[in-house]
Amino acid sequence: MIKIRNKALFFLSLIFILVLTMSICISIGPVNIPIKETVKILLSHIVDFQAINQTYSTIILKIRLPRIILAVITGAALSVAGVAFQALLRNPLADPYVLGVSSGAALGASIGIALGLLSLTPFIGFIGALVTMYIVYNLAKTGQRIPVTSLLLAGVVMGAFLASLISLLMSLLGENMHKIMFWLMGSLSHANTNLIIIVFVLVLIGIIIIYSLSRELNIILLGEESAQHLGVSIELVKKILFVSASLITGAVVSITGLIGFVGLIIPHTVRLLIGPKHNNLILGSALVGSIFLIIADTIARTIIAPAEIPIGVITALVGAPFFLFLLIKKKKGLKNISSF
Amino acid sequence: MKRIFLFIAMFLISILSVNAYPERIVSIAPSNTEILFALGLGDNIVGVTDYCDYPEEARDKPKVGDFSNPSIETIVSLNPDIVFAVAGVQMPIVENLRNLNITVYQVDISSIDDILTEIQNIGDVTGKTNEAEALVSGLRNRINVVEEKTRALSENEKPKVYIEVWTYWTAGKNTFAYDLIEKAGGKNVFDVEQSWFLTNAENVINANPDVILLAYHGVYVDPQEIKSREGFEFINAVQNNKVYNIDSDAVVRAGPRIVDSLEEMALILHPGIMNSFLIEPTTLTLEGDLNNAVSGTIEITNTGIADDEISISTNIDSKYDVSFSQDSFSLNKGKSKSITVTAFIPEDEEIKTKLLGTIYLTGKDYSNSLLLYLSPNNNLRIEDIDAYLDGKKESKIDEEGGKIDNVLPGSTIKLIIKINNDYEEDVEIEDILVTGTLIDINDKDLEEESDEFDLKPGKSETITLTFDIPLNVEEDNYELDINVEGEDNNGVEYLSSVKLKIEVEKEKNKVIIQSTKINPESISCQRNIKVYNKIINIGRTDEDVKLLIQNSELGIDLEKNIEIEEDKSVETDFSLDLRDDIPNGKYNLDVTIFYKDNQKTDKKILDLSIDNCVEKTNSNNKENNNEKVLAQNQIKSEDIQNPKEKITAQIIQPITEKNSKSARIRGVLLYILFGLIFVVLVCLLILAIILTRRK
Repeated sequence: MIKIRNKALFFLSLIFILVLTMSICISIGPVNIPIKETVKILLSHIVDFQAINQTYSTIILKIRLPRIILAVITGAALSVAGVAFQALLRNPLADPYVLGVSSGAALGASIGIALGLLSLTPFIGFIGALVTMYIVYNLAKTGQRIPVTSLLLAGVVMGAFLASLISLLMSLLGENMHKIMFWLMGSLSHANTNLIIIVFVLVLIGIIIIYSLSRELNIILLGEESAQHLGVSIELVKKILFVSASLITGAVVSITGLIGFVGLIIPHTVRLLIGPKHNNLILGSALVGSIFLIIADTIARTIIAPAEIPIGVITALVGAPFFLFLLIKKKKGLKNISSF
Repeated sequence: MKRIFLFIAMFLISILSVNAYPERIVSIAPSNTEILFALGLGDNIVGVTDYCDYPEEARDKPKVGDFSNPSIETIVSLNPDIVFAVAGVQMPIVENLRNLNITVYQVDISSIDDILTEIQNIGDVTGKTNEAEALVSGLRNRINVVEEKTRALSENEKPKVYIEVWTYWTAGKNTFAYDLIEKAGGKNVFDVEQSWFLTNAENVINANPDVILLAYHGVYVDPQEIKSREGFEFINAVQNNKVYNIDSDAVVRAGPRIVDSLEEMALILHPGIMNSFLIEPTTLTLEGDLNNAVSGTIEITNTGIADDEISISTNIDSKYDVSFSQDSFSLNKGKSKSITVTAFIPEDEEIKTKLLGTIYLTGKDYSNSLLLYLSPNNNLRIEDIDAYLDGKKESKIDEEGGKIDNVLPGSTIKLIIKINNDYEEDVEIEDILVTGTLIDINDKDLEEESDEFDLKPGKSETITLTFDIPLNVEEDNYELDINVEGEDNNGVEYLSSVKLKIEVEKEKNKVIIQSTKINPESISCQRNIKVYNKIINIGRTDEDVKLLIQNSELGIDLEKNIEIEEDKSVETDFSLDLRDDIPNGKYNLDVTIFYKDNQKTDKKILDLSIDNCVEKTNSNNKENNNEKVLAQNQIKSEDIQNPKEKITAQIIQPITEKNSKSARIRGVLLYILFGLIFVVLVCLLILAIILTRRK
C-alpha cells in the first residue's frame, strides 16, 4: 500500500477539499445563482454588502447551507460510528446499523408517521434509538462484562426484530405505508435548522469522545486480553464506545432516515489510504465521509431534477464500485483489514 | 383488448349463470367499489378490500384483504359471479382467479376519459346499462362545464400548481392529479414524465407555484406549516395565501369522485370563473314620465359549478330611490331568478337618456354588474318630418331621420316638421323653437329657425323650414340637425332632435348664368349700355363656355369665349353702342351660354327699354349714380361672401391673344433689364474689391 507519509498535509488537503466541495455544491441547484452572489451571501454576516438578493440569500442560507451542513454531520457521524463499531466488534462487516439502533430509530419514526405526528417524528425516532440501545446493552450484558459476541448477536437479532415490526406496521397501515417507505429511503432534504444544531452538538460530542479513545481502540484491536495486560479498562471503554457510537447514529438516523453504505465503506477506504491507526482513521473518516455525502446528495438532488433520487441509492451506487476499485488497486491493504 | 375482455366476460357470464347478469359481486379495488356503488349495485357486492372506505356502506362489506394481495380463499368462499379487478398490478391475482373458473373483469383506466368508458362497461356487464349511461352523461356534463370555462383561458391566466401528497412528494405527468390540474385550468409546475415523485424545497421555490394543493392521505395539513417552510415566503402561493387541502382519495382513485375533485380544484384555481352567474339584460333602461316610479326586470342565472349566495347593491344616487324585489338570495347552480328593479324619476330630471349607475351582484367568489339607464319620456315629440327636394317629396325621410340624395348646388330643401305635446293633460310646453342647422357647408353652418310657439297638452303644430343649398357647395355628405326645444310650466326643459343626412352631388357638366344685368335698364338719348354677367361652373369639369348676347332688332350679336375652371365663376361685361335710329320701345336681350361643345346651354333674358330723348341729363346722371352704387354693392357683397373666388375670377378675366403676347414680351424684357442691372452691380463690386486690394 502506498502509505501517505505526511499526515498533516493529508488532513490539510482533506479539509481543503471539504471546503471546496461545500462551496461548489452550495452553488449547484435548480435556481441558478451566480458564484459571485453566492460568495457575497456567505460573507454577508462578516462584511456588510449592499443589495443582496433576498431570494438567493434564503435559498443559499436556509435551504442549501443547512442541507450541506447536515450532509457533513451525517457523513462524519456515520463514518466515525462505522470506525468505532468495526473496532469494537472486531468485525470488518460492522457498520453503524449492525446493532439495531438505526432500526429502533426507524421504528420510532414509523410510529410517529403512523400517528400523524409529522413534526415530532425525529424525536420519537431518537427515543426509539435510545430505547433500542438500552435493550441491546442489557441483553448483551453478562455480569459486569459485555462480550463482543453477545453484543453482536443481541444487536443483530434486535435489529431484525425491529425491522419486522416496521414491516408489520407498514402492512397494517395499508395505503399509508408509502410514507414510511419514503422515510426509510433516507433524505437530507427536510430538516429544520434547530434540529440540525441539536444533532450537530450531539455528533460533535460523540466524535470527540470516540477520538479521545483512539489509543484504546488501537489496543482493543490487538485483542481484549492484551488490552487488559496493557492496563486499559476494556469494559468501560467498550461501554463508552457503544453508547457514544449508538447515540450519534440514532441522532443522525432519526432526522435523515436510513442512508446505507457510508458507515461501511468510508472507514475501509480511509484505512486503505492512511493505515489503521485510529487517531488518523477517525479524523480521516469524518472528513472523507462528509465530502462523500455532500457529493452524493448533490447528485441525488440534481441528476433527475425536479425529482430527487433517495440519497441511499447514490451512496450505494457510487460507494460500492469505488470501494471495490480501491480494494483491487491496493490489494496490499487487505492485510490491514485482515489484521482485525 | 379491453373489448375482447369485455366480450369474454359477457360470454362467460351468459353461459355460467342462468340469470343473465351477475348477482354476487366482489371488488378488489377501492375505485371499482366506488363505481359499483355509484351504479346502485351496493346490495350485490359481497366482498371488498380493506381499503374500500367509500361510500360509508362499503366499510360494512366483508373484507377480502388488501389491494395488492387479497385472499383468494376468501374470494372463492364468497362464491362471486364476477370479480372486478384492475389491469396491470393485479394481473397475477386475476390469473389465479381465472384458473379457479371465476369470472373476472379487469378495469383498465389510465386517463379521466377512461373512467367514464369503464363505468359504462361495468354497467353493461352488470345489467345496469341505463344507470351507467345516466351516470356517465352526468359526469361528462360536469367535466364539460369545467372544460368550457377553462378553455378560454390564455396560458398566462392558468395558475402554476404544486400538488403535494406527502412532504415534497408531488405529481408528474402520469397521474390523475396532473390531468385534473390541466382540466381545471392550471399548469402543474413540474412537467416531467413520471408518476408521483420526490422533489425538494429548492425546486418548488424555483418553480414558484401560484397555488399549492395539499392532498395528504387522510391527514389535514395546516397550511401554516407549509407556509413556514424555509424559503417558501418567496412563493406566490404563500404570499397570496393560496395553500389548500383537498381530498386525496378523490384525486387518486379512478372513480366517479374524480369529477368532484375536478370541480373542487377548478373552484380553487378559478373561483371567479367557476362560480359565475349571468345577468340578462346587461344594461337596463327604465322609461317613464317625470315624477313617477318606473320598473324593469332582470334575470340572473347561475352558470357556475356550485350553489351561490348573491346580494345586490348599487351606487346610484338615493334621489332615484332604486330598489330591488330582493336584496339577497341564494341561487342554486343551473337555476335562474327574476328580480324587479324599481326607480323613481324626479320631476326636475333632464329629458334625455342618462346612465344612472351600476347595479352590483356579488356572489361568494364572483361578481357581475349591469348598468342602469333612466329614460324619462320626452313629451315634446317630433311626430313626423316630410322633406321636399326642389318640390319633390323625399321618401326616405321620417321622424327618425333619413337621407336626402342627389342634392344639387342651388337646390332647395323644404322640411315640414310636425311637433306634438304628448302630455295628456295639465302640462303646457311653451316657447318652443325649432332649429334646423345644415352643418359645415363651405366652412360655416346654415341655420334656419322657426318662430317660437306654445303647445297645449295633446296638441301639435307643423313647422316649415327651407334651406337653399349654395351654388358653390362642395360635393360631400352633410348633416342637417333638427332640434326642438321647449320648457313646460314646471320649468322642465325638453329637447328632441333628429339628424338628417344630405348628400350633395354635382352634375358632370353644369354651367349657369348666375346673374346678368343691364345698365342702365332704360335709355333715352344715350346710346351706350353695359351688360354685366356672372357665369359659374357648378359641374365637375373645366368648361369652355361661349357667351352670346343677341337681339336681331337692335342688331346686337356679341360673342365671347371664356374658359371656366371647375368651381370657379367669371364676371364679364360688355359695352354696347346702339344705333341712333332705333325706335322707342321695350326690347329683350338674350344672354345665352353654350358649353360642353355647344351641347348644353343656359339662357337669361334682359329687358331694355328705350325712351324719348327728353329728360336726358337728369336721368343719365341718376342712372350713372345708380350704376356706381350698384356696382359697389355687388363687389362688396361678393367680397364678404367669397373673397378667394373673386380674386381667382379676376385673374382668369379673359384676355385676347394679342394682349397676352405683348404682355409676355414685356415680361421677358423686364427680366433682361433686371439681369443686366444685376451683372453690372456684380462687376462694380468685383472692381471695388480689386481696387481696395491694390491699395
